[in-house]
This record gives sequence, C-alpha cells and structure tokens, in this order.
Amino acid sequence: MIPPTLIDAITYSSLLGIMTFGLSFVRRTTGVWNIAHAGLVTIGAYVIFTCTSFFGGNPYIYLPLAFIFSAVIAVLEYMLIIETLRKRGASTTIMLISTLAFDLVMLSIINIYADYLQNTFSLPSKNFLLRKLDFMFLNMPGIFWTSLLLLITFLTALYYVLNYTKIGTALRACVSNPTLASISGINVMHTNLFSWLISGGLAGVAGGLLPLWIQGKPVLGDSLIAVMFCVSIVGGVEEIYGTVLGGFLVGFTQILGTSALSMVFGPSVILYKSLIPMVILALALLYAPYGIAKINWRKILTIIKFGGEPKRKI
Amino acid sequence: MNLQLGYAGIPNFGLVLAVTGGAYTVGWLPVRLCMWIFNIDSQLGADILKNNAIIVSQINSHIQAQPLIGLAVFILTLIVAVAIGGVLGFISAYPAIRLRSDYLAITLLALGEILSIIGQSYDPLVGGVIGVLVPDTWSWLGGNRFTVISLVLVIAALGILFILELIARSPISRTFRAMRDNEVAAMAMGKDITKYRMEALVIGSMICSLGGALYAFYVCYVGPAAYGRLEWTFLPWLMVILGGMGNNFGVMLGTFIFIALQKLIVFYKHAFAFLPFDVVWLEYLLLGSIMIAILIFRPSGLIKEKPSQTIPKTKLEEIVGESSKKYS
Amino acid sequence: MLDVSNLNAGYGKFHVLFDINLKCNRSEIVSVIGPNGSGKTTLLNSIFGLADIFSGSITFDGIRINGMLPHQISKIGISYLPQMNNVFSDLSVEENLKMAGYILNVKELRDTMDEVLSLFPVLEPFLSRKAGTLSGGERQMLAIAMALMKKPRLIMLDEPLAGLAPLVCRKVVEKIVELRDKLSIGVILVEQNAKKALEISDRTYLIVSGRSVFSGKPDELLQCEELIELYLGLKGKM
Repeated sequence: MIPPTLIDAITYSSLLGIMTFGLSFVRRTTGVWNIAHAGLVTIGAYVIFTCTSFFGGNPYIYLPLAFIFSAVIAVLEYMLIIETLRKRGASTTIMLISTLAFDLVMLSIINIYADYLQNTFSLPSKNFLLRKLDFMFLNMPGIFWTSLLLLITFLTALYYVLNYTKIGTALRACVSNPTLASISGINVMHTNLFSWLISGGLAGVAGGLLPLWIQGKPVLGDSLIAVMFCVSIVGGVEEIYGTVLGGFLVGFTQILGTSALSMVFGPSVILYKSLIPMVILALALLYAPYGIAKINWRKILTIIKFGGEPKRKI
Repeated sequence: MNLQLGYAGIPNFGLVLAVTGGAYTVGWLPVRLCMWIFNIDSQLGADILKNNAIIVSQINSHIQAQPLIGLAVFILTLIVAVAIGGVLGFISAYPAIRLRSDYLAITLLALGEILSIIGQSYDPLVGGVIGVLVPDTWSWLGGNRFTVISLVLVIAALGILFILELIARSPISRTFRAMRDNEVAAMAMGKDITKYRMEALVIGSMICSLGGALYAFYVCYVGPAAYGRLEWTFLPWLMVILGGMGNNFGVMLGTFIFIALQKLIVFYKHAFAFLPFDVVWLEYLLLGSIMIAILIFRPSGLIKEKPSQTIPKTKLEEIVGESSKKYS
Repeated sequence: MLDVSNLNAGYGKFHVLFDINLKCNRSEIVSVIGPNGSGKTTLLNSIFGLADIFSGSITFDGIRINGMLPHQISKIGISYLPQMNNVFSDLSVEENLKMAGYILNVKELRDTMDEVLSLFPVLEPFLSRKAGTLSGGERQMLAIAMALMKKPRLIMLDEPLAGLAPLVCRKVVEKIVELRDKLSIGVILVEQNAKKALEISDRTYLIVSGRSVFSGKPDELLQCEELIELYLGLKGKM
C-alpha cells in the first residue's frame, strides 16, 4: 500500500508539472515570463466549477472545455498584448509588467464572475472543493491517477510531436534560431501562437484538476504562481522536460520535507511548505542557475569517479 | 485628504531609483518587505498577540502622557525599518543578482509571494491573517493627530525626493543608467555591474521599507492581507509607469493622478451599488486595462526621462570647437 | 531579375543605406564589397525584409517585394544565407535540410533533398548529427545546401568564406561558381575577402558608408588604384 504522503507528493508534483510546463514553454519560445499564467490556471478551475454546478456529472468530462477556454484566452493575450508590444520594441521587462496587468484584469473578471455566481445562484464560488465528485480506484483518489496519467500522456505526445512532426521540428527550429526559421519560410508568429495555445490549454487543464484536491478560489492561480516560478527556474527553461523534473523535485521536497520537518520541529506546516520552495530556489540560483536539467552530470560523475577532471594529453 | 499623497509616494521613489539603476525588479519584493519590517518593530511594543488590542491601548495611554517616548519609538523604529529593508533586499537579491533583469524580477516576485504566505500563516510574526494593531506613537496629539501626521508624511516624502534628486544628478545615477541601457558596454568601461545592481536594489529596498513603516504608523495596523502584491507591487508600478519611469517628478505626478482618480472612484462608488458584484473589482479591472494601454501607447510615461546633464552646453560647444580646429 | 533602385534603408531611426542601386540576373555572380560596417549586410537584410526600408523599391521579376515578410519572400525564389547563425545548431543535419525545405510537400522534399545531397556528398555521413557539432567548413556547406533546398533563382550569401581555412575556402568558392554555371542561379555575394570575390564575380558593387562608390566590372575596379588603396587596402597593381 502506498503511503498517503507519497500519493500526495506524486499528485502534487504531477499537477505542478502540467501547470508549470506552459510557463516555461512560452518563456522558451517567446522570451516572456507570463505572470498571467496564474489567471489561466484559475480560469480552468472556474470552468469546471461552473459546469459541475449547472450540468452536474463527473468533473473530468469538462476538462477539454477548460483546455479550450484557457487556450483561447492565452492566444488573445499573446495577439493583443505581447505581439503589439513586441512590434513597438518593448523590452522583456515591460512585457513582464504587462502580463502582471493582464493577470489583474483576469483576476478582476474572475472575481466579478464569482461574485455574480454567489449572489445570484448562491453557489460557493469563492471557496469550493470538488473532492467529493472524485472517484476512487484501488483505494486511491482519482486525481492521483488522472494527474499522473495526464502527465505521462502529455510528455509522450510532446516528444512525438517535437521530434516526428513538421510543426514540432519547426517549433524547435524557431526556438533554436528564429531569424533563420523566418528565412527558411517558417511563420514564426504561427509557431509562437501554437506554443501559447498549448501553454494556456495545459494551464486550464491543471486548473480544472486542482479543485479536486485543494480549495478553489479566485486567487487559486495567483497563490501558486510563486511556486510555479520556482519550478520553472529550478527545472530549467532551456531543456523542454526540465520543468517536469523541477515539478517533481519541488513537489516532493515540499510535501515530504514538510511532513519530515513537522515531525522534528513541530506543526508549522504552512510555514515549512512555503519556505521550502524559497530555499530550493535560492540554492538553484546559486549552484545551477540554468536549472537542474542543464547540470553537466557527466562532468560531476567523472569528478566523483576519478577524483578530478581528465587531463588532456598534449 | 490629499495628504495621503505624500505617503503613497515614498515606496514609489524606491522604485524610481531601482528603475534608473536598471534593476526594474526592486519593486517586487521590497514593497512586501515593508510590512515585515514594520511588524518586527511593532513587537517592541506589543508582547502577547492575543492581548494585542489591550496592550496597544495601554501603550497608547502611556504615550499620551509622555510624547517624547512616542517620538523616540517612531524614529527608532524607522531606523530599524530602513536597516532591515536594506538587509532583506540584499539577502533576497543575492542569489539572483547575476541573472538577467526579468529573471531577477520573477525571483523577487516569487520570494515576495512566499514571504507573504509565511506572514499569513506564521502567527508570531504578524498575527497571521488577522494582523496586529500598532501602537500609535502620535497619540499625544489627540485630535490633531491626523493633520500632524499627514504633514510629517509629506515632509518625509519631500525629504526623500530631495535626496533622490541629488542622487539622480550624481555620477552614480549616470552609472545606473549606463548599466540599464547597455550592460555589456558598461562592463567594458570597467563598471562592476553586479555591485551597482545590488546598490540600487538595496537603496531601493530601504526606501520602500521606510514607506511601509510610515504607512503602518499612519494606519496603526499591520496585516498580511493589507500588504499584498496587488496594492504594493502593482499599484506603485502603475503610478511609476503612468508618471514616467526613470525620473522622480514623473513618479510624483503619477502618484497624484492615481490618488485623485481613486478618490473620484470612491466618491462615485455608491452609484454602482446595483451591480451584483463588489465594485472594487471593476476598479481593478479598469486599472489593469489602463496599465496595459499605457504600456502599449506611451511606455515612457507622462514625463520623459531627461538625459543626464554633465557639463553645460556652452562648455561642450567650446570643447568641440577647439578639437575640430585641431584636426582640420 | 532582382532590381534594387534608390534604396534608403536602416534599422529604426538608424539610417544605414543611401540611394543604393543594384541589379542581379540569372547565371551571374554579383559581388558587394566594402569596408566593415558599410551596410553590406543591411542591403541583404533589406532585400529579405529584415530591415526597415525608408524609401526606394525592390522588385524581383517585376514583383515588388519591399514590405513583404521574410517567410513570404523565401517562397518566391530568393534564398538568403546569413553571415552568422546560419544553421539550426540544435537540430540534426537532416532536420536542418527539412526545415530549409519547409514549404515543399513530402515528395518534393525528398527529391530535393536527394538532389542537394548529391551536390554536397560531404554531408551524407552527418545526417543524424546535430548541426552544432560540425566543423566550420561543413557547417558552411550545410548552410549553402539549405539555401538550395528551396530551388531558388537567386541566392544571397553574406560572407560565406569568413573564418574558413584556405583549402575549405577554395571548395566553397568552387561550389558558388557551380551554382552559377550548373544551376543558372543568380548569386549576390557579400564578402570581406575582396580579392576572392572579385576573382569570381561578373559584376561588382563597392559600398562605403552606406553609399555606392563604384559599380561595374571587376577589371574596371582593379584599374582604379585610388579606390583599391583607399577602400580595399590593397596596395599596388593586382
């Protein structure tokens, strides 16, 4: 039987991975840290909430809808704001601030919507938990299975698309050398759009899954954005699978670390839970600023094995 | 009423310095630090959290009797606040200081958020979600408290403005600007980018903590919810961008305009009571959109940054005249 | 074929080129030479939509192309080989060629790739290797091969000989001449190595500080001692 802490850790890490992937992805392809990614996550949660409240049924069936909603909004954000700013030669920091503003706009709209639901339909839209709608399989909550499965499916699909399809290779080309890609006939704006679409959609799906596990509220995404940045930086933006690695590293350390610390130092659970990503982030920045995926493992192994780097023969 | 403008301007100056320093990033973290700074100091007065209210009123009556103690606590706390602000700024930026500016921004944002969560959950620090009441060091003023404290704030703001203008005209500011425009060139000229970045950040943090501490004294309350990312990162940025990044007067202008707008909105709030949601979100929606519009259409703000004046134009012409004679 | 007339171009507020005129037809090599920073790369960038055109016109077979986006221009028969970063280092050689032939359909792609590989047999053993691991000369060959994937009628090469060993230089030069002779492609060649460029060009343009100082046959230029000394740094008769 798998201990509940481990289940927690795996679920959390998988969700983190799916949720944060988009953040790293758009950073890698368009160079923008999208703070509004938080809003995209929250939107997914509210799509699921609305659907289950009005149409009932299994929350999982509405996930594609969550994907679409968030994907569309992400694309809108890209076209209306990011591209416009880029054409005017804005710096990445200005674009960062604009995503902050857009996140605020989304937060406001979500709050307005939640207020509306609450006042008009008496729904607990400001604070809801959908765990009771989840199924159990082999004595473990459905969310555990779905998040893990989703992550694995996604990674496999991603690998296939990136290496065996034209658009996937074009995406890699754009990341590698956008000017040359343009010269070769690839419409870089289309590939960027595609990356934003996928990122938004994934955020929506992750956001849709979250309320099955933790409280859903208007600041859901915003409360997690800090951890998402940690995951992204720790995992490394350069390698495309780094974020997932980062998700597991941070997720596991947070959950297992928290339970370990509370056993030793007493129950300040939330304190530990919040401190841990900070510590990991600081460590990562000091020792592996490009993320764990970029660490030269071969070099480290050689040093450990042979007690030093091999010297060249002249 | 409009004297609140003073206090609001203070943390923004911290941002301005940071912006001219090319460390656009300062805004993220220190504004949250302000709260931290202050709450730590408030512990000087209030020992037990649960009895916070009682203790505070007791302290207040003490201060009413002995105004000098009030003043002393005020000034001492401010000094501590500034110091802690600087230290926290240094610590939080240290791991990330060598990164590109937007990586740095994100890191500081993340750290700030996490600090906020810690504040909300770890009671001994600021009383968790509920917050702490702060001793009113000006309670000896009785009825005139409001006016006097507003005046103090305005004077403080003007004082800081003055100091910052001095800095802005100094060589340090030119280095900051060079760093912001083209890091590589600045490095080639022998400037240690990391050191200057850190300087800009630390000074900015200190000013921000000062602002936060002053604000806390003004409202006599510190609580994590009131010092969130929304009010203290986004709004100051809005004011700075609106008025014009990179120059102090722009920031003042931006702050004034913003506060004026806010007053207007509050005034007309009751007109919107019929809407089935909290009007404050409409306000934020508007603000967010305005910010985006500004960034797209006039990113330099209302008052543009002037190039630094080093020597007067006439002297420049002299020098050019001489050298061209030499070469022709 | 390609007609550039009265071109004024630059980047943003930065005015680089002043009233430039240039023509290039099929089966001819036109070289553009001049000192560093004179705007040679800007000229190529302008033709390909990567710089800002302030005034003037660029037409290709009668079609006006100033104002078109790079990926649109790549479809009408012009290929561009930039000076730096001219291959996708993270992709394999085969993927590089595939991307170069992005606009072709599956069958066309396969046929063209076979054709191009027959012209550059040196690339054959490297097909699955990452382009970034190739040597300078091999990378340049790959870049030219990539430029050929679109079956262009005009190829623009920006300093293809930079940083290459003399032997490799010779091979690349041979290939460029092959392009003109065997494939009847028009070539615009921007080169620092003026000597080599003049040897193989049919016509040449000398650009200094964004202005055209000379245009005509290489022999004529070589007889103009003053220009050679001043701008090309070559003393004495060649």
